[in-house]
Amino acid sequence: MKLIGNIYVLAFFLLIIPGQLFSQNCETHHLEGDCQHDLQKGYDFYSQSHSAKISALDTIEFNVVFYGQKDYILSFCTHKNLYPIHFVLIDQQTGEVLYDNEEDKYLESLGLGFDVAKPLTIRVDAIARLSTDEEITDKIGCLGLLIQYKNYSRKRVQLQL
Amino acid sequence: MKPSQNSYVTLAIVVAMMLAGACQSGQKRSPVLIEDLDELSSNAGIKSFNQIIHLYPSPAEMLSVIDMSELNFDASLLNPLDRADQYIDSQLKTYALGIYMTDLAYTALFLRHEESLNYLEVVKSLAADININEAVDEAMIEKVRNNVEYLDSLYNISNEAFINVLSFCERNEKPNTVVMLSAGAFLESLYLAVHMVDDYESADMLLQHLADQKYTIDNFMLFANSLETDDLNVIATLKDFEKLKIIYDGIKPGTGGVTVKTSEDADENQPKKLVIGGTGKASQPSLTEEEFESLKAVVIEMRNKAVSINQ
Repeated sequence: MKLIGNIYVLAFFLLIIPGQLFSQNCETHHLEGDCQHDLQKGYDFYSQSHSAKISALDTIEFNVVFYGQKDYILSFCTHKNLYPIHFVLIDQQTGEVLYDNEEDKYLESLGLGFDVAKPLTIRVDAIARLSTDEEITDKIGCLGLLIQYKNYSRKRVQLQL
Repeated sequence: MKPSQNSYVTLAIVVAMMLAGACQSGQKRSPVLIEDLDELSSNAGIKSFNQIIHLYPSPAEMLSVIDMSELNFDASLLNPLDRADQYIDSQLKTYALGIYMTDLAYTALFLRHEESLNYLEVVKSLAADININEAVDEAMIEKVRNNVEYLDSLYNISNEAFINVLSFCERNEKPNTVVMLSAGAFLESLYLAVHMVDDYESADMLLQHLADQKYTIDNFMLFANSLETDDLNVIATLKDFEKLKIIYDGIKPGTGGVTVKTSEDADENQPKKLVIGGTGKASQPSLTEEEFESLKAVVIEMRNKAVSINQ
């Protein structure tokens, strides 16, 4: 009887723990999650880095302003059950798709060099390969977008001029 | 008390489950296609959401685009420190806080240690007045005090202050505060930038920077209008900002396509890199002299109204 009691307790905690993991506060996920593995020396943190709650059924669009003559690194991170992350870069003015990470097996970090200023829409969804059907419909996790930047080197600017 | 055999069995199951979970997390970076994603999304009764988040640069980032090395620091452009305690209404204090945060960024970009410290003190005081004192604390001021030799860090600290304030407001669901703060910060960055243009003919970089703010105001207004607030100060501020938006909507948006190419200078330790470029100067927005003068006049009028104590 005691074993059955212990199993009930165990089952209760196993049901509760994943829910807690999924429903944490998300505001600073881009500073805490896997994104921090992509921090690069020589790059500054871009203030448009952002985190939000996401489920496997949702789509988030980040409208970001990129200034010209700068290199950027975009890094995406989420809860382990929500990977891989699918993102598409869209020209905010024309709606043209400039890049889709599906073509690179859902890579999670991408370098971008902007010769001129440009507003982009970064459309993101979580494919959630490791989630069960129930988790896909019920669970919410954090999605972090870390953006780092640095100025183009003077040499490169001169070459362009 | 001796643990029972059943407890050991339970413990073993827990450990086994934890180990299984740990092993699973190690697989998260292997990219695999999900073939039935569309089918899952279309199941009846399952709700999905499309969230749009409009973002824009911090005042320090806006101003850092300008090459300060050929410009002189002009303290007369900044909102005087002693005016800070004369703002009474909390939303107007927030508006002023945005203005002071940009002034802080300006002093930091010119590596003016003493002025940066003074403006950070004002920022801290106003932040406390509107109950967001957690975002700018004494530790941040100590950091500036202790970094006299490392003037570059002033820029990072001023940027950090702005990011902290926005994060705090987001965490505590204060969207009106975000609007007023961002409006003040953006307006002040435009005010400083228009005053840096001495001669229209020889100010290519500055004019391009001002024209590029078309994208910033677009994102800011989309965010602010999406809130549908009933706060009268926010409504009045956004009404004022419509004047700016009209000018920016009127300028040439830039024509020609965007080129995307894979960078040739990517190395093994860096992620894949794309270069996004316009096709020549025409691909960027630009301001005619007339548009610049209109923008300058509206910015000065709005900013003077914003810093005025008797609004």
